[in-house]
Amino acid sequence: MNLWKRALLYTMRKKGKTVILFLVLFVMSTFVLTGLAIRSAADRSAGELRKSVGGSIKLIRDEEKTQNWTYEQGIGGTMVGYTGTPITDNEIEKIMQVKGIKSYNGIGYGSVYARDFSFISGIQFSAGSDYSSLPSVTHSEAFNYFRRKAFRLIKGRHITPEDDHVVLISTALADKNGLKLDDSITVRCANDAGEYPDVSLKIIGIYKSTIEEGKFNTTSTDKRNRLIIDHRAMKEIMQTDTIQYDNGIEFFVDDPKEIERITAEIQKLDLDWNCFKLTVDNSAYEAVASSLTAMQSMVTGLIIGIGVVSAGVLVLIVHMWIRQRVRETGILLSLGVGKFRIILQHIAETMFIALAAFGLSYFSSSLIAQGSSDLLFAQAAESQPDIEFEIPDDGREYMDLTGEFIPYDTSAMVSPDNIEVQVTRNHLLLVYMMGMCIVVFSVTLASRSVVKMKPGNILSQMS
Amino acid sequence: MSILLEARNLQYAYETKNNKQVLRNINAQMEQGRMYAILGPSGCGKTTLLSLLGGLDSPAGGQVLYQGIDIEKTGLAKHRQRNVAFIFQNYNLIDYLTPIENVALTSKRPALPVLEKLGLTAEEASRNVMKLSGGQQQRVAIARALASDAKVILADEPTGNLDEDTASEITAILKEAAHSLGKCVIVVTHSNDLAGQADIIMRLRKGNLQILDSFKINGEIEK
Repeated sequence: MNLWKRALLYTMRKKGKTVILFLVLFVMSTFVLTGLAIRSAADRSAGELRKSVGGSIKLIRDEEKTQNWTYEQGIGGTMVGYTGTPITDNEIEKIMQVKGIKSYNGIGYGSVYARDFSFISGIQFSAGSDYSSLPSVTHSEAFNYFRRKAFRLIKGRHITPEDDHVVLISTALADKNGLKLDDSITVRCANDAGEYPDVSLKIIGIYKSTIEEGKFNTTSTDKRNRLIIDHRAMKEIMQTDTIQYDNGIEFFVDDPKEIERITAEIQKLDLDWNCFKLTVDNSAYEAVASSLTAMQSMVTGLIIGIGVVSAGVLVLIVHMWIRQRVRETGILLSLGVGKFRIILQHIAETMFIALAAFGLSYFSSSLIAQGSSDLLFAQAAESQPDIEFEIPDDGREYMDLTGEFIPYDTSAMVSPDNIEVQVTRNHLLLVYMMGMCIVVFSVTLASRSVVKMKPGNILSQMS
Repeated sequence: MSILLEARNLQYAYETKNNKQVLRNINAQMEQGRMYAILGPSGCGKTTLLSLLGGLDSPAGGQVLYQGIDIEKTGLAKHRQRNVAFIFQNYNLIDYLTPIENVALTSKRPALPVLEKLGLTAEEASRNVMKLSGGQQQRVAIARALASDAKVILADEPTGNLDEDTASEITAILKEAAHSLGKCVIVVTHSNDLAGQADIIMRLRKGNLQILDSFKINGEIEK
């Protein structure tokens, strides 16, 4: 009689042991399978979340280094000017070669006087201070005010790289001046030195500012006065030949998880690092993904814990049972059955039971996976501390005159409050592979002490 | 008759503080078609000698030869599998198998005819082995030994747990195995009745093996 038949007969006839071992393996594999399914779902959800929230690396001028500035004594006081290497399309071209960057948004900076309309007046209003900031953008949709939902486009469309002399204005400014889509406004550069022309801009979009304005805004700090324009218009306003991205260029990555690698690769590029520096922003992802990350860690810990406990419990049970089978081992040895075949029989018996237990656990884990996931997720989310947003590196743009920081508006961000969990065949296959390894390990370990004995000793113990 | 099994200067000592030597230079030759009985007081090393002959243990010195070849060279497991079959006092049957399945452990031939020949019915042969009487269990153990291709049967107190009538039946079966089937049957026993049925009677005493009566078949034992 071969070992497989002996194993099958043992499994069928020792019903009590078979049922106990079946239940133990069934419960363990149900937990592991559930854990694997939740882990996969959390990974998938985190991946989707990362892609939806995104992250960015910003190349900005290093304005902290004094060598990048010149100071000239003028009639009215000291004239300060940035003389470092400007950020231009040359830098964009190089950085866009790095793998993992999906798009960019260059941001120019200027300030203009209103020529045929009026800004909303702030405090300390005078004729000389009736100007406002004027960011130029490659893609207005990717402009951080829009990305963080501080501004919402309610009419028209966003600025794209193909646009020429267009502008987005706020609802407040439109209302004050009776402006609507397709109307034009005229502005002129607010720099003190030099001659600048009047430039006409066509209104292609109207946004609503969701920022609650403080009482102490000047005209230029009042976000409702922001005129968001394209780079071609900026060139004409500033009378320059090339676009200079004075407010930096923001590069958007496919996966914020990769942000460190991408940053390191950019830093290796041949750019004038005496004049530039990089800032990284993946705080949005960190903010919304904290509960998912906590759950991923929790589930991974659970899977490892259950695996180790399973192996331990299995070793104990099998060890106990194999010691009870010393007599049988002695008989088989006296019949000339090799030790290896005796261990193999024990492994085969456990595997027969494991095959059935693991298979059935596919259905039980499918039933409890979603509920367990919801429970774990709720616990993970509850245990998370309140999210503290880091002030972005361009934080000054987000502060009003009182120094109050305008935080992210995360209300519209898709923060997962549950995840869809599904037990798949791959999970089952993994459980089978892991389970079989644990079975072989446990049974071999448990059999060692008995099989190490000499047949003569076993038989003398028996008698 | 050809010599099947030979003990040559066989020595064995228990692994104790004093390394008590139980077997000293045992020399014996066992032939096919004969039944041997080994007598001796408890603890004299009878079972140990049987274990060494059957390859369950290795001697401290000397050799066990099967058909002239050292069993250590053949491999003890192979020796147990091919050359010898054991019958124990406590039967040593696998408790989750039927008699038929127990016999099938050593033989691919149909087990029922062997069991029926030894007095078990077909129904008894299909029952769980633990549901049989002691005598029936010992018959199953003998059937397992007989069904195998082993030419040597090593029996350790095969009638020790049986009543007198059953013991006589078992003794007769073993004797028949030697004389009719040509097996070499070596029996370790305290029973004079069983020893009296042997062709050759040996006594193990103080580590030495002496042949008491090597010629008298079915005769009285010399005391």
